[in-house]
Amino acid sequence: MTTPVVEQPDPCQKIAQLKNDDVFKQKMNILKGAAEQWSFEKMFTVYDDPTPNTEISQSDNYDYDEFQGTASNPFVSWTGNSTIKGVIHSHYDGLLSVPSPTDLQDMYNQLLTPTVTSDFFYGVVTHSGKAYILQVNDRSNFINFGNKNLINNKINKFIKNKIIKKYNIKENNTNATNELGFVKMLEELNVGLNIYKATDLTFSDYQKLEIQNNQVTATPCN
Amino acid sequence: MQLNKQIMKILILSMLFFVSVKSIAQTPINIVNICNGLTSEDVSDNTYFKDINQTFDNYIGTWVWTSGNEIVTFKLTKVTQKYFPEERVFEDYMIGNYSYSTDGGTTFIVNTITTPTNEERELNPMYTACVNDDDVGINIFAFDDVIIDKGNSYCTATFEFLPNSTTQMQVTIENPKGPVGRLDGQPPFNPNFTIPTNMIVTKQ
Repeated sequence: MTTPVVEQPDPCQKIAQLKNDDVFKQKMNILKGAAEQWSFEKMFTVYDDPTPNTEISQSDNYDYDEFQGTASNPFVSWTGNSTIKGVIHSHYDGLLSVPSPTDLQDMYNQLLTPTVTSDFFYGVVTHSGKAYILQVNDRSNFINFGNKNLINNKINKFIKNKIIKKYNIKENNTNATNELGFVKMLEELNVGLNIYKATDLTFSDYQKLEIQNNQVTATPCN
Repeated sequence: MQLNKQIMKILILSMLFFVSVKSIAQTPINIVNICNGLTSEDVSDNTYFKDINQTFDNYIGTWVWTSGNEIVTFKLTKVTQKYFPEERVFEDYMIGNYSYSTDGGTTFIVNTITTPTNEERELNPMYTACVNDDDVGINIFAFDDVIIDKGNSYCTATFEFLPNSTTQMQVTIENPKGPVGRLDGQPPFNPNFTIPTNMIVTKQ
């Protein structure tokens, strides 16, 4: 008796549209500049463009709204509607070199809205010159994870006990240390998210990050 | 008559059984340090997450900031060996309450300080699970502004001892360090706080 071969979905299917979108890459490049030069966050919300431009070198499948913090209030307060497809933002010097627990909390808050679709993504370009995109792998798992760790009376313990103590994710660590801890955390706590990393700061290619033998492995998204 | 005696005996034995089970269920059988990276899913039932190194103790008490007629008071309380039935573990943690007056303490803009203090972490506007090893002299609380609705967003109150002091701390109250979004016509996140956000408090 032979075991039927189950075709695995392409893990990079969702990211392909982003990496081939010229305007999306421009927006990521703007965030790169903000992460390097500013002491407050900048972000874009991303929506489907009803009239996309598909011309080569001008592809533009999304509409954007722009927000940013201030020197006195460096976080970003943003508003939008539930047709939103994603959020991309910058981490300036002093913030984590990987997505932060408050990024996860904001992502969780939006995904509690039933009309926000499960292909919602959350991206960050960090001061350390790295860019990551989180995508939902299992929405139910992510909501369960959020209920246990990301609501206001539980996130303090999650940050201190898990993020800092167990997974060694800290502002003053190297990016490699934080990346290892973050990817391990996603897998071990069954968070329900996939994480992709831009191979360079042209934002033209991404790798899916996973853990094997206690190390981060990167599978190219070709 | 004989039947009644047997029923009574069964009832008494049943009551003794449930009393003994309840007392066993609420007695720690294993003690580990708080914030050691483990959670209730990683340990046996009735494990006690204890503040073994007494890292909370320096923060316990009433701390006051005054400026003219403005007074902010924080009451920080250590809760010990609190049992969480759903997780079947015991924990130490700290809670906090605060008040703010602008007329020298005659009336209050906000006052969450009650006597006695309710130990339930969800019923207090400030909570901290532990003091991290790297944060010597710093304790970061989750902070809920009970007047301004900030929704599910992680605001913090950081208490940091001044150099060489055990009686004075810098308190900094901050909004989340990350984006805070609101969808579909919800009012935008309000960045303000009801009480001052930077102050030096003195132990009473």
